[in-house]
Amino acid sequence: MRAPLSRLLILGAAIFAVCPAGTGFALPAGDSTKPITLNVADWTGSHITTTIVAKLLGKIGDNVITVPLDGAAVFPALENGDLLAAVEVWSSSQSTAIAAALATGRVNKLGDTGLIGRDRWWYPDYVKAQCPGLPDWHALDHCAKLFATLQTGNKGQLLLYPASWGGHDDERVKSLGLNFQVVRTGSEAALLAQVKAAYLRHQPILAWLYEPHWAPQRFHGEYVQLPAYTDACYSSGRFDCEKPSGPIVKLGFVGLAAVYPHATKLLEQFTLNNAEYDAMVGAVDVDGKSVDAVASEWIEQHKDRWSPWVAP
Amino acid sequence: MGRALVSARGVAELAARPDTVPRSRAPRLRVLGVVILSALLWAIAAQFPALETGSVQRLPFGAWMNSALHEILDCTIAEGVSVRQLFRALVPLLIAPVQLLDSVFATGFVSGSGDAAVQRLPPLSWVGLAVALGAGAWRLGGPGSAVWALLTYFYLQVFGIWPDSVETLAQMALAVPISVLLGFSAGVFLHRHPRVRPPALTLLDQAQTVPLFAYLVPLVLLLGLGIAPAVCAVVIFAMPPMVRTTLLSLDQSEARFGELASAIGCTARQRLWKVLVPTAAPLLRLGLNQVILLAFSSAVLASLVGASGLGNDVLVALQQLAIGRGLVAGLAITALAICLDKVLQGWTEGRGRLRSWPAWLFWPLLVVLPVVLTLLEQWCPLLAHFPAVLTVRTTTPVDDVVGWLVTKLYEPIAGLQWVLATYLFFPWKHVVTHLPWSLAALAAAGAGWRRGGLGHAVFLGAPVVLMALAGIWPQAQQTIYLTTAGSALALLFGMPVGIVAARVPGFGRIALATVDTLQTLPPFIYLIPVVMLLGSGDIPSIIAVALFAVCPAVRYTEAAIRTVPSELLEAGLQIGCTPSQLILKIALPVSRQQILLGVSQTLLMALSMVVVTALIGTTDLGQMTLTAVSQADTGMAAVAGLAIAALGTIADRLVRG
Repeated sequence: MRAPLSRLLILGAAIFAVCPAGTGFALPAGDSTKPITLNVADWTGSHITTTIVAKLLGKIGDNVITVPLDGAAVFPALENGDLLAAVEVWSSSQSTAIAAALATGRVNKLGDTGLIGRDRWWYPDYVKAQCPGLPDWHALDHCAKLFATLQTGNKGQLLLYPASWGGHDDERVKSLGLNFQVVRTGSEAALLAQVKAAYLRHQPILAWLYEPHWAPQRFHGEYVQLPAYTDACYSSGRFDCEKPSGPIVKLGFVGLAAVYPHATKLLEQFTLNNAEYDAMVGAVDVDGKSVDAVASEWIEQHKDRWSPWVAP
Repeated sequence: MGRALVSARGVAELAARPDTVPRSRAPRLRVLGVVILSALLWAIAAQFPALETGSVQRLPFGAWMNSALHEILDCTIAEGVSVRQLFRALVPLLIAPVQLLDSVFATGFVSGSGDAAVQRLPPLSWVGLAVALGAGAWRLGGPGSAVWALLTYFYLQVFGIWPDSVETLAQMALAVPISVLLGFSAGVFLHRHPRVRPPALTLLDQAQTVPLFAYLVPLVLLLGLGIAPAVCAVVIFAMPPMVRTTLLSLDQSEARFGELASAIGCTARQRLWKVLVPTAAPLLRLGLNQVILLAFSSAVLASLVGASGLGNDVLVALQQLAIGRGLVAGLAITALAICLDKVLQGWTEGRGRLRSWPAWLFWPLLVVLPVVLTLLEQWCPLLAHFPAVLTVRTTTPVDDVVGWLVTKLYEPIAGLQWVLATYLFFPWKHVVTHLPWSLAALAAAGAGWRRGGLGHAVFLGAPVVLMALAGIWPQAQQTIYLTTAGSALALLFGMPVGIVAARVPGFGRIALATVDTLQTLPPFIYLIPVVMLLGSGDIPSIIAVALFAVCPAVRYTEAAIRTVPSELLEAGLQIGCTPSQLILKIALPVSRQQILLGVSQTLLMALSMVVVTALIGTTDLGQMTLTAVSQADTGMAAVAGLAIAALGTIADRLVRG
C-alpha cells in the first residue's frame, strides 16, 4: 500500500513545482508572481479602499492576498515585510505609531490617499431643541445634566474612542471649563453601539465621531463648534480648540519597490477623495450593497483616473 | 429490604464523613483573628501611600520585556540561524494543508496571476459535498452525527458563509489535532514525572488567562501573518484542558489498575496503551470536547493576526453594528464546533463502526460521486452553485428585535441597574479600590504558606509586590473588582441552575446545551447588545463577565452534585431531610472539593474575560493590555497580561486553599 501513496505524493509535489514555473511567462512588468499581502482593518472604508487597490493590482497581473489584521499588528508586520503595504493609515489617530515605523527605516510612505480624517464632537439633531445655543460649545456647559449618566453623576458624559486613539480631550474639557466627564470606550463598536442605542431611544448623547465614516451619514446630527485649530493652542498644552485634521496615508515595506516595481508605482499614485469615499461607505453600510460590488462600480466609473496608474 | 440496607450503610457513611460533621469552634476563632488582624493592617497601610498604592517607585518592567523579546528573537541557535528564522521555516508546514483544504472545498485550483488567473479545477460541487459530508459523518460518528453535519452544512450554504466556514474549519482541522496530540503527550509526560507538575500546571493556567493581545506582536514577529500565528494562538488557548484531563484520567486509572498492570508484567508501553489509556477513555473524551469548544471559541482571536474566516465575519459585522450578521456567523462557529464534537465523540466511541457500511458503497459516496458531480457541472450549472432562491441574505429581523429590546427594555433595566450599582457594586468597588497592596500581598503569601510553606508563600506573594513596583496596582484593583463582582453574579445564578440540572435530567440537558452555546459563541456578539442596553461603564462589564463565567459555574456544580453517591442522598431522606437540607447539608459539603474547583474555574474564566470587557471601556489590566498593544508597547502589554494571569493563580490558591 505504501508505494502507490508515495508515488502519488511525488506526483503531487511535481505538479505543484511545475505549476508556478509555467505561469511566469504572463507577467508584463517584472513584478514577482508571489502574492502581495495587503491588510484590511475592521472598518468598512478600509475594506473598500483595499478591495479597489487589489482589483487594480489584478489588472496589472499581480496576485493579492488580503488579510484581516488587528491595528496593533500592522506596524510590526510592515517592518518585518510580512505585510507589504497598508492602503489606509490614519495619521489623525496613529501619528506616533507612523513616525516610529518610518524611523525604523524599514517602512516607506507611499504618499497620501487624498482622504482627510476629521475628529469632532457630535450630538443628534433632537438634542438641539433641549439645549438651545448649540452648536456653539458655550451652550454645552449649561446642559451638562442632559448628558449625565449613572457613571458620571452630575457631570455630563463625553463619550470617546479608546485611549490609544489620543485626542487630548481630558485637557480640552478642563481648559474649556466644561462640567463634563470623559468616558472612554474600549473599541469603535462599543462607541457606535451607544450612539445607535441613544439615537433609537431619543436620548441626548455627546460623542466623538469622525469623518469619513458611515455613522454621521446614518444618524442625523451636528458637530459642536469649538474654537478653530491653531498651532499655539496645541503647543501651549491647553488644547482648547478643534483637533487638527489629519491626512490618511499609504505605507509600504522598504523592499516592496525592488520586487514589485509596477505595483509600487500604482500604490503611490492611487488616490480618492472624501466625497466618493463617503458615498461608497454609505452604499455598503446604509444601503446594504456588498463591498465587492461597490468597489467594482467605482472602477467601472473612473477608468480615466486609474488608467494612468496601471500604465507600465 | 435491600433499599433499607443501602440506606443504613449510607447513614453510617454520612456520620463518618468529616466534611459533613459540624466543625469545631477553633477555626472560627482563627477566622475572627485573621479578620481583626487584617483590619488593623489595613488601617495602618492606609496611612502610608507606599504601602497602599505602591506609587513610590516604578520599575520599567515594560522596557525590560521589550529588549528581552528582541534579544530572544535574534538569538542564534546554530550558525546563521536565529530563533526567528527557525520558526519562519516551520510556517509552510502549517499553511500548506490549510490551503489545500480551502482549494478543494471552496475556491478551486487557480493558476496564473492577477486578472489573468484561470481556474484550472473547480471546488467540489455543493451537492457532492453534501453527500460526502453526510456519508463521512455517518461512517465516523453514526446517523445522529450525519444529521447534524447536513443541517450545519445547509445552514452555512443558506446564509452564504460556506467559503468562510471552510477557512475556519481548515484552521481548526489543524489546530485541534495539534492541541490534542501535544496536550496528550504533555499529560503523559507529567503523569510520569510528578516533580515537574506544579510549575507546568501553573504555566497552563497562565496560557489560558494571559490575553492574546499580550503576545500578539511576538507571535506575528515569530510566525508572520495569517494561518500560522492563528493556529498557534488557538493551540495555546485550547490545549491546557487536554493536558489536565489526560493527567487526571491517567492518575485515576493508575490508582485503579496500576497494580494489575504490574502484576501481569506489562512493559511501560503496554501499561500506557493497553491498560491506562483504554480505561481512561471517558475523561480523555471530555478533554477532546473541551479542546474543540475552546478552539472554535477562539476563532475570533485568529482573525486578529491575519486569518480570515467566520471569526473575521463576526468582528466586521459587529463593527458595523450588524448584530444579525454577527449572530449568523457566530452561531455558525458554534454549530461547527458541536458538529465536529459529535462526529469525533461518536468516532472515539466506535458508534459509526457498529453499523459499518460496506466499502463498495462508502468509498464511492465519499470520493467518486462528488468528483463525478463536479465534472457534470459543465452541463448542469445547478450543481456548481448553491441555488440563489434558497439563500437568505438579509438579517434585518434580528437587528429589528435588538432595536426593539434596546428601546422597550431600557426603562426597567436602567432602574435595576441603578439599584444594583448604588447598593451593591459601587460599595464593593469602594472597598476593593482601597485595598492596600501590602495587605493583598500578605494575604496571598499567607494562603501560600498554609498550602506549601515558604516557597509557595513567595510564589504567591511576590506577584502582588511586583505589581506594586511596576505601578499597576490601581489597575489590578479594578480587575479584582470587576472579576469578583462578575463571578459572584455568575455563581449566584450558575450554582442553583447546576444543582437543578443535576437533579432534573430534562432541564439539565437544556441547561448544558445553552451553556455550551454560550461558551463557543464569540463574546463580542452579546457584548454589543449589552452595551446598547446599559451603556459604558462597570455594570455592562460585570454583566458580560458574568455571562461568560456562568458556563463553568453551571458545569462544575452539575458534575459535582451528580457524583454525590446516591446512598448518601437516600440516607438523608431516611433521616428526614427536606430537599433543601439534602442539598445544603449533604450534597454540597460532600462534593466540596469539586464545587471549589468550579468556583476557581469561574474566577479564571472571569479573568480571561477582562481583556474582552476592555473593549467596552474599563480601566483595568485588560484595558492596559489593549492600550499598550495598540501603542506598540509590547513589553507593557506582556506585563499587564502576566499580571492578569498572576491574579488567576492567586485566586485559584485562595479558593481551593
